[in-house]
Amino acid sequence: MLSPKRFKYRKLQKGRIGGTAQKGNKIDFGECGLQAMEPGRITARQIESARIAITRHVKRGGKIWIRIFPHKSVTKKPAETRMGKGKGSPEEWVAVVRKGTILYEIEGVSRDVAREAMRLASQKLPIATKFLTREIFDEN
Amino acid sequence: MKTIKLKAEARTESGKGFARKLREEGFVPAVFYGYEVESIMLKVSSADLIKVIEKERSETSFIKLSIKEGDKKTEKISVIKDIQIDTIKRKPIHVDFYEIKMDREVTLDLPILLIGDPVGVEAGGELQQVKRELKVSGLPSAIPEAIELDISALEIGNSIKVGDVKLAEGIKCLDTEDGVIATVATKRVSVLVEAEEAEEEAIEGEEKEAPGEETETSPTGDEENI
Repeated sequence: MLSPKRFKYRKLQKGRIGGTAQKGNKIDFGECGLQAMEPGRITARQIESARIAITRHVKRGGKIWIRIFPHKSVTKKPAETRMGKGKGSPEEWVAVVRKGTILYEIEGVSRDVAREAMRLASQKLPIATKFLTREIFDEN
Repeated sequence: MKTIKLKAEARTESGKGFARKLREEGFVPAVFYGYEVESIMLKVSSADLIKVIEKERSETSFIKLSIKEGDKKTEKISVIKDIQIDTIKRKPIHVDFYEIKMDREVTLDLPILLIGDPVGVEAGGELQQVKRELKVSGLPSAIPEAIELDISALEIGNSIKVGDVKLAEGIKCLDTEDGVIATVATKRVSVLVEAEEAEEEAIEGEEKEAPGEETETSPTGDEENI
């Protein structure tokens, strides 16, 4: 699973996810991609699970790019704990995703295979996504 | 390079409010400018623009703009210098047209078209296209629509670089010669796939255990690193 090698602060503030992605919103490496259509947090497990779904469908051949990285730690208090006594312990790593972010890219497979692989990947993710190709005004 | 016709109308108003209104009416705000030319604010039909770009692949074609300015009509030859796209709706937001003068050099990003099936791919390799556009400069009459590269001789481990591209006389390449355009790499072996499957099983196993857990471990699982 993806996680930062080192970090400055182990507990971060929650934050808000506003607006649309101003960077990482274009297909830069592959032929097709998966774009987030709503904001959200994607955990390292979900990123890995979707990646496995893609590689499993594509089998051999093709190249995959993961365009997001879980930089943010999310804390959780233990069950049946009274409120207070400080912030909980870090539980998981998440990627903060804005609307429009490209999540995965793929190259070297047919359009149909890529579309199906991305559909399978999107089922592992907690947000609505859209299959995208390099064509500028592609409506799919 | 072919020339495509596009109708445009001059506009006097600007600003986000007006631009939004234009887009609602089916237009795209645009601007026309060039060397020693006063810029003109334009509006073009969104449907026409999409048709021109998608069907004619006009990003690297010359566009003959017929600009209607009141009763006056002028024709200008231009290229699309920049196009802003709404990443969610996949619609154009704004277009920049740059005037082309036939006696003045112009710099353009030309698409690279790979032709042929590499020998290395038939031998089990994988073709990877690293660079898709090449920045070239030259007189407009000498610039082609796209750069075609024959990659049929590429073997596994071989790559074609910017320096290998032979351009027509009068055209200069502005990209660094060392830049790789395409390469034939070895395919990933099946051992990796097995390792991935094992990894996935491990993840699924962890997920099943997760709901009942009450641990206070760090996300990395390594407290010492924190």
